[in-house]
Amino acid sequence: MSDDPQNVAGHSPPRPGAPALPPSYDPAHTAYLPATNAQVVVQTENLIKRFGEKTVLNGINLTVRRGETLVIMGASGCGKSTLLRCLLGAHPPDEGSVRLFGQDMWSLMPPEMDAVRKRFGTLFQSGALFSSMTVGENVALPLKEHTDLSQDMIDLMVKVKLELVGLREAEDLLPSQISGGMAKRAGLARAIALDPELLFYDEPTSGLDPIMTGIIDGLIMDLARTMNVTSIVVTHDLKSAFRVADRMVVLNEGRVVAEGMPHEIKGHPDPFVRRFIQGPIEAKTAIYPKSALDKGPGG
Amino acid sequence: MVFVSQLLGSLGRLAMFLIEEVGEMGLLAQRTAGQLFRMRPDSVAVQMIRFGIRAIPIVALVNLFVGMIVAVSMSEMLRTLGVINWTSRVVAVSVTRELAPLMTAIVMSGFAGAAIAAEIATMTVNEEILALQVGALSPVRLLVLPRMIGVCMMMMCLTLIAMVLGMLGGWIVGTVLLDIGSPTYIEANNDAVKWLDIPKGLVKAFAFGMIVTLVACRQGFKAEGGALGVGRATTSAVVISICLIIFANLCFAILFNWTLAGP
Repeated sequence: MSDDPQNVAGHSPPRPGAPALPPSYDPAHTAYLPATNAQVVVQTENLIKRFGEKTVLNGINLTVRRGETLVIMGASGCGKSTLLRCLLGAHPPDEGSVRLFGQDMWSLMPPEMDAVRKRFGTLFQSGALFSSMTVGENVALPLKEHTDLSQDMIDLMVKVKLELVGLREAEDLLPSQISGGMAKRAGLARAIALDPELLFYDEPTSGLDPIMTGIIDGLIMDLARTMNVTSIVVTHDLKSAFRVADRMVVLNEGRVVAEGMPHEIKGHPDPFVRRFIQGPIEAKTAIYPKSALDKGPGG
Repeated sequence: MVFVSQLLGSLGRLAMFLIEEVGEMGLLAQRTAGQLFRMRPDSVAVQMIRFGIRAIPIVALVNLFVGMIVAVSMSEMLRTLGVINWTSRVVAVSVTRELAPLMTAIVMSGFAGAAIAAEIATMTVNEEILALQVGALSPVRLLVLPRMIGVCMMMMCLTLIAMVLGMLGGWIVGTVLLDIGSPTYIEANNDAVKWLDIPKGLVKAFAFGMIVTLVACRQGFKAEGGALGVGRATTSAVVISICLIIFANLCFAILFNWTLAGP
């Protein structure tokens, strides 16, 4: 698989067994297009989020269908992380709505919101493992709290999930005893502990070496393929984004400036998108709006 | 005119800050109480060992010295009045009613409060709290509740130990330095301590434990900005809890000495 973002040959293959695939599968770009009648899993309508005077998200409209992998890209400070937190139900929108599995997150009572939250998993940028627990206990926590499984069954499930991410040997280690790449994989094992229908990834490959990036990308694609999981990946790693995406959204200054299949994004006429994809060094100040440069990294 | 305007502005901001903090802590206490029946005894036991058992030496040492200080400080005046044997009474009353709960709470605000605030603040800046929330796992139930129950229970135990050690400190000074006979000292000590002083002290200890935990958790949850934020949360937790503990002690003093006992 090529690491060149211009090479589309490395995109996600079709998911075998998914009935909606054949009519919508695009062989020219090897990306999966969900059928237009597939269930909408995530939907935002005119999502606006402000922090004080600053409008971070300015009218975001997104629709993600079951089984799809959507990559949200954009320069640092463009609102990617804020959008992700709005989708997770961590930040209430100032205007507009966020619907997960057809339910408006901010019209739900806390127990109903928790019921929705049990249907998705999240991989955080740092892994966000609980430092006082071992890797195995981290993965076991959602199973202990949200299921009636016996301890033996939970132990078995933990081993299965850790095996899936190649971390079987790290079960008894503390997060402080493992590398950044292992922490991300452990975070992924925890995120998939309850077999979620939807997975959010926050910068899943940032700070990783190319080999580990390939492993994490492979895991994202394998989970989508084998478990038919709907995935939303927030990243500014172009190679990784073009490798895993079925569809892409590019944000700039809190707005969606481009949306489409990976090959459509590559040929997009918007100057910002062109510069973002091609990334010429001399155009750095033109790519990043002044506000983003002032704010620094962290999206 | 500008000075008055700035002064009023500062007072207004301070008032808003206090109202917000007290309101947020009240909400946190309410949410914690709502999770009480979902408490896990094993998590509470871990916190009791962590913040209680390990605090015994420092609490014992501090209160031993406090008892000795009270005895030494009061001895000169009592000797002048010709009632040196009353040293034990003064020590017993001051230690059981005020000093043991207060000193234990102040020690615990540094020992447990700082640790809790730093731990939760680190979890907040590392997105661990967010991970709990979006995973439909209640940080209040998993983090606040066991710490609050553990600290409150151990505060009461530690306060009992502190009372004994404070009186022991007075006994050491009384018998070794002031030449009061041991049986005389112990008899006067036992006469001075009313049985109701001990539950009153324990009520205070429980309340101080709640203050220490609520302040520490609140400061930890609102931390932001990496290591700097963790440091700020820890400092704020200790400073705010000491101020609140002393204010609460004043309220208890009024309640126990005037309201309940009559003016």
